[in-house]
Amino acid sequence: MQWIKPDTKIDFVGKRSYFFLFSLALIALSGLSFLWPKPNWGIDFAGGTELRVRFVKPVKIGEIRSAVDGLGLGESQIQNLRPGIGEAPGHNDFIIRAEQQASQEGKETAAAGKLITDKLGEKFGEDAFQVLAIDYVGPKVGKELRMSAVKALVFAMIGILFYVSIRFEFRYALGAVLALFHDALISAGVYNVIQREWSLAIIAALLTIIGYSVNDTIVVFDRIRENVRKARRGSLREIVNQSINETLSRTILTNFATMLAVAFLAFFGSGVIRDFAIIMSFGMVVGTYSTIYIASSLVLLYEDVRNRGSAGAARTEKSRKPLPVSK
Amino acid sequence: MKTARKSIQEILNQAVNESFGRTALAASASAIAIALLSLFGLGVVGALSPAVLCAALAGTLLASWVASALVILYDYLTSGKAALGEQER
Repeated sequence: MQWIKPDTKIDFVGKRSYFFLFSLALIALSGLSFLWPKPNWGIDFAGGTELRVRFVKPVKIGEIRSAVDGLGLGESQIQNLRPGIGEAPGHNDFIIRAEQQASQEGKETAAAGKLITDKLGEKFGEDAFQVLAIDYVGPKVGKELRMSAVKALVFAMIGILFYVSIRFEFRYALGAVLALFHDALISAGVYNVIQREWSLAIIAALLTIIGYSVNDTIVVFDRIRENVRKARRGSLREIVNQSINETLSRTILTNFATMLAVAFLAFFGSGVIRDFAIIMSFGMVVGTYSTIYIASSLVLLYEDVRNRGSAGAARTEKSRKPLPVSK
Repeated sequence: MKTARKSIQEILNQAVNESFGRTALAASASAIAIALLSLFGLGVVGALSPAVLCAALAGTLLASWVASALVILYDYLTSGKAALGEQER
């Protein structure tokens, strides 16, 4: 079964200005999503106390909230975890998060977990639940982790810029890195909009998206390079279009196969794995789009700007008349 | 002029050779990005990236040396069965 015929001739780069505008709008909206509705920072970044609790009998979120809110631990978040693959339906796992208080640093932070378990024991009975895990993260550690994630992201992009510049040319490297930035930012924006929680695993997912997306982009660039060598005539625009068409089937086929695996994780996974798979699936869709419509078009844009610059310089050189020599 | 039909082994070998440069290039680009993550990432990021790096390297090796070889093996087994079926008929 062949979905995409080998002789497809779709003009991908012809309408590149529209796709640039579309992508710019998405990037702007994604940037705005960091201001509104704002990322839902998890304990890794915001700091605080997180407990995973399993109740023996079904319990309503409201009942747990009323117990935790009375403790004066700041804003609390309670989430009912759905069962993962292989777990019995109807299990009562909850994640309880208490905000980090400025006065709670150090040993008092650890006490927050005990306060919550004591209160739950008082309300539901000691045998009514089991504490599966308790995590404490201080605000300083959260900030450090956030900075480390940003640093890792920047270094990964610089590494790709250098590598692609060495193996190809700078224009390809620039196209690839801008396309990766586009993928990461839009995926993060969509994730903000659906208000899923940001944890370190989500940063890892963003970085995995970058690693995966560059793979696809490089394949198209390599085909462009091959076709540029082979071509005896035709503009770069035509060669780029031809190369995207030639690799289209491969791009869609590999992304679809990976997407299937990720989609299964997003539907049937739970907790962090589910969040990881959700952002990965956004990233893969955006990555495929940028591979086809943005990365190569950016190479063309770079070439256009450079040519216009050199043509302008040539015109200026021609129009420059020698100044009359005064005697 | 008619040319002899190539065996599946020859076709796969040619295909793997043709795409080998591209496979290695794409995998090395991803590997560089992931290696930098394992150097600079903390926590889950630092823990996940070596695993992804191993998977990327293993995946590249498998794509070139194992996946196509399995197709040849499958073809060999099924063509053997088909030949047996012909004989029985």
